[in-house]
Amino acid sequence: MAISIGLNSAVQSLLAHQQAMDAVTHNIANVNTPGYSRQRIHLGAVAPAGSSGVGQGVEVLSVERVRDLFIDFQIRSQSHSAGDYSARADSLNLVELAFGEPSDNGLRAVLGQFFNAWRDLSNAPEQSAARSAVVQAGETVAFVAQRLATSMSEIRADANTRLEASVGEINDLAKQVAALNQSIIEVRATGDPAADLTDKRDLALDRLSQLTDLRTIQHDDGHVDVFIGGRSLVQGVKASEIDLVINPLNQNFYDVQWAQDGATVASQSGEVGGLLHQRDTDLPARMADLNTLVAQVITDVNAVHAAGFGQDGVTTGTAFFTGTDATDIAVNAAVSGDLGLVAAASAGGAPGDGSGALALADLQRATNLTGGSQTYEAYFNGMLTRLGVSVRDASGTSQAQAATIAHLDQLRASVSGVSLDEEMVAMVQYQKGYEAAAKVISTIDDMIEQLFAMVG
Amino acid sequence: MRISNRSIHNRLLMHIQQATGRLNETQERVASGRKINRPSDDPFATARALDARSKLDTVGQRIRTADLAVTELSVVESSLTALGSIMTRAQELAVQADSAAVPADARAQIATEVEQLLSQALAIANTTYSGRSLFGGHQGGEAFTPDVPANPTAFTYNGDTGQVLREIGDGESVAVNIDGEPLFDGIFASLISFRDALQSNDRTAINLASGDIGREIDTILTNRGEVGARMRRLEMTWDRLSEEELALRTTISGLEEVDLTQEVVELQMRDTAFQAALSATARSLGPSLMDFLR
Repeated sequence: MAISIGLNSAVQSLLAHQQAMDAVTHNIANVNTPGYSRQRIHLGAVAPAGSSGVGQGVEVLSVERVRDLFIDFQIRSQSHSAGDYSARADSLNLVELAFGEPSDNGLRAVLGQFFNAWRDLSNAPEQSAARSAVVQAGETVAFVAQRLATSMSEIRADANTRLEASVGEINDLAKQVAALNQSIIEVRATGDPAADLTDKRDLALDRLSQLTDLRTIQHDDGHVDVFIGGRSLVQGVKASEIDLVINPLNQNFYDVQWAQDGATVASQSGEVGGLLHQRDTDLPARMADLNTLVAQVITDVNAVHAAGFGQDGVTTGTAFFTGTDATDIAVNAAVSGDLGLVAAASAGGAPGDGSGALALADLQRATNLTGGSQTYEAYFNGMLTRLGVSVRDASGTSQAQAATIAHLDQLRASVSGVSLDEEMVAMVQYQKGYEAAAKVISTIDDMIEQLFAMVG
Repeated sequence: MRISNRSIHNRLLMHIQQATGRLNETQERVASGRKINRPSDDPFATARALDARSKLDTVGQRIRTADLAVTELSVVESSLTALGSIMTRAQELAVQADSAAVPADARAQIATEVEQLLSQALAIANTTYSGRSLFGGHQGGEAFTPDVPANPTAFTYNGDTGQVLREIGDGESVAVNIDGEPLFDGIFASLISFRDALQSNDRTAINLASGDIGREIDTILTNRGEVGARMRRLEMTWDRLSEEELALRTTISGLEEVDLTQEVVELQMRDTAFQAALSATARSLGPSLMDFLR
């Protein structure tokens, strides 16, 4: 057996350990890189060539990207509902803030003050201060109701703006994934596992799965196809564009469509799904509830007020409010301009009669809502309870999802994350291996020297 | 389980964030003194609290109304008392005049005093309280006007029979006026006929008028009794409303306000937990194999 074989395997050992050391360096360098999966070098013995029975040293078999695909799958299947509920919770929190209850300045309180002002008027129908108080209380009701309506449409518009940002991000990420697919296919064709590129793509897919409910299919050549609602967002190296089209039939909000054929993107969940749900279903329903309440107040107050008589004892049939719902409720300008028109009397020619005002105040007890079963206050409290429950559920669910994801992330970090201690041990290990290989070379050198000396 | 540096960092960060979040929650409750800062803190307690607040607003309004009604009825009562004194004085004068020994000129003098009593009674009939005519029903202005300013012979009632009602409960009201026409018509008629009898020096008529005056005094007493009964009812209502107000306030504070002792103890505990999380973090981040490799 030739001495050179020993020299050869020692050189291979040097190279292998150097490569292993490179992997250690790479791992240490990326200890804080988000989405990075640690890489491990697999070393293998080289089988003997001849009949000597001694192997020919060591070689690098593969570079492994340590990753648990099942955890990735789990995280992505949880992420979309976390994104969904956190989008809902964000928007519902704003609604809750707009209502500002429990307080003494909310719609419930000012409505109560409005009816109390009518009771005060019934106690002093001949005093213009009491009439003016009624008009002012009515204006406060109108102001608070309109402010609520405005806030709600602002929150809807905000959901629309955020939708624009989210869809923009989806398009960017889809392009990134398609480009990374291309690079991965090319690099893997050379035999390299394309570990770092795959990390980058996984990071993009993680974020995408928060934005929408997607499905991915992994292919043998390394590329990943991404689908939303059965249609491909990324197919191989090609990304489909999602368009935002202004819909004049829906308050000029955006429709989310596939650029290719204008079909609706069926995103049921994720941030996009959550924002769409808030914008088109949840907030309009809450707005409708508010409008139902305010419209009933306008109708009832106007009916009772029209039946009463003004201070002159003759004028009757005056409407107290104008407008049809929370968006446009206002005190009738004729009434606020002439306090004498406020109808405190229930009969003509009786200026000291306050029973008309009392009849109006009695509306507070009338059950004219929800099929004649609820007072204004009960209806409002019901609205607010539903809101509170929704906020609590959405926040609770989004927090629970976040906790699940944090736990899964922890598992992922435990599998794929770099441990510096581990890398230190590996470093010492490979350093010793390298040292030993070098020692072997110098020993063989000595041996050859001795051989030459014998010859010489 | 394999522990990587990232999992250590993530876990420590998560624990610190949780501890901070919990600490912050308690701090907010202690600082605001409120359990419910928004409906989602406790939706059903919020609904109950809002309901109680609405009831409290109404009860507060009713208490104000009851106070007003008591004041208005006291004014009516003092008017009736004054009216009673006028009529009692008229009866004294009638007894005095209803004697054979009284000469005609003395009767004429008494007639002057009765004339004054009549104008005092008219002033009472036209009493107003904060702009409202007490005995005029739902009508404004003066309740009674004499046909002529001096020595009137008849009075016109300008009011109506409208009851001035004050709402002190759901569908429960109390009237704060009494109908002026039946009360004062008799009083004016008896005083006018007494004055006329004195002026015409007619003892029989004086005697007749004296009887009328006595009956009017009874009517006044009946009315005073009625007003007194209403005031007692108002007092009872007022007491009930005050009790209700107190109960509602207790309910609201029970639902909305924090038990400070409990929260402060909780705050202390959470603060300790937070500091423990910090100190655990400081320790965990310290040692590494690198410190020992030379």
